[in-house]
Amino acid sequence: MTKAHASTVIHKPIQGVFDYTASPANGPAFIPNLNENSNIQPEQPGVGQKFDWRFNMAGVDLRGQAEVTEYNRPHNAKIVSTGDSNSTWVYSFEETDGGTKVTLDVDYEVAEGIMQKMANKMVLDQLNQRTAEQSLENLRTILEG
Amino acid sequence: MQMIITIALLVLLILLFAHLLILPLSKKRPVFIKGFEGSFFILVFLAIIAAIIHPILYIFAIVIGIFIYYTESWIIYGVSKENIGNALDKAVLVSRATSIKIANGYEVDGNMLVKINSLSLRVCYIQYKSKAGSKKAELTKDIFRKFIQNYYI
Repeated sequence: MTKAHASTVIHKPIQGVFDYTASPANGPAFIPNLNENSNIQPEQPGVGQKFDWRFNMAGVDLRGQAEVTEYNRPHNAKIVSTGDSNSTWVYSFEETDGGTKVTLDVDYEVAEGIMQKMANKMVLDQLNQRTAEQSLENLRTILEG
Repeated sequence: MQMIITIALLVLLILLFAHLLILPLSKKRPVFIKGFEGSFFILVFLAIIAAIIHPILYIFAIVIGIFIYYTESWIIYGVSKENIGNALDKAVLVSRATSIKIANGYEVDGNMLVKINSLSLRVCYIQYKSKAGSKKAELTKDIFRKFIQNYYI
């Protein structure tokens, strides 16, 4: 299991930041290599919401299913995904002066067969760290812009 | 010497052909000719024709390649103009940008002109023109690309 961690401050109220970030429908907008979240059921975000995902990691298409396992509006949300890559995405939100601090922690494990298609584990770790940082940067661009 | 150049260009063309055309088509996804690799592909393709027909066509190859690169154009095969328009609407919605309908396209976030032209039933030509650097407009463009690539041919 490998980890990626990033945080940022978004100058918007916490509820709005949480609602946008924790909705799987918005994932492909701010997560750079996430191509698609589909079959999102039920439509209303919350614990038990499930969806299919398609992620491009270093040119390799990964697919799987995910489920929202924690949804404490507006403090934290946890999404557990399985498939070609098993990962846990935890978003935490804290009110700060004039904004919201968003923290993203990702634990992930790529299936061995898929890993063999990729160049190098160290490169992959750097790529995933960059993805976490870029995700929050994109989130800030969308919500503050 | 000309033979070596032609063989080298052919090898390059096969590699680019596999990457830009065969790979997406094998997954039944749309084909994108865009950016540096797209313009390079067009350049190499026309350069091979020039090597076979007449060297004067090299100039034509360079002009077309540079045109695609500097006009930030995309050529897309496999998606209708209507579906491309729908993808742009969805991209604007999730990126919380604004869009104003203009002739043959949209103005995104008051900053980037997106013109969508249909070259045939399933081939479209998209041209971008940015007034000033806008991170949100660039992000919307990237989301737009993803949403087009999510269509099946």
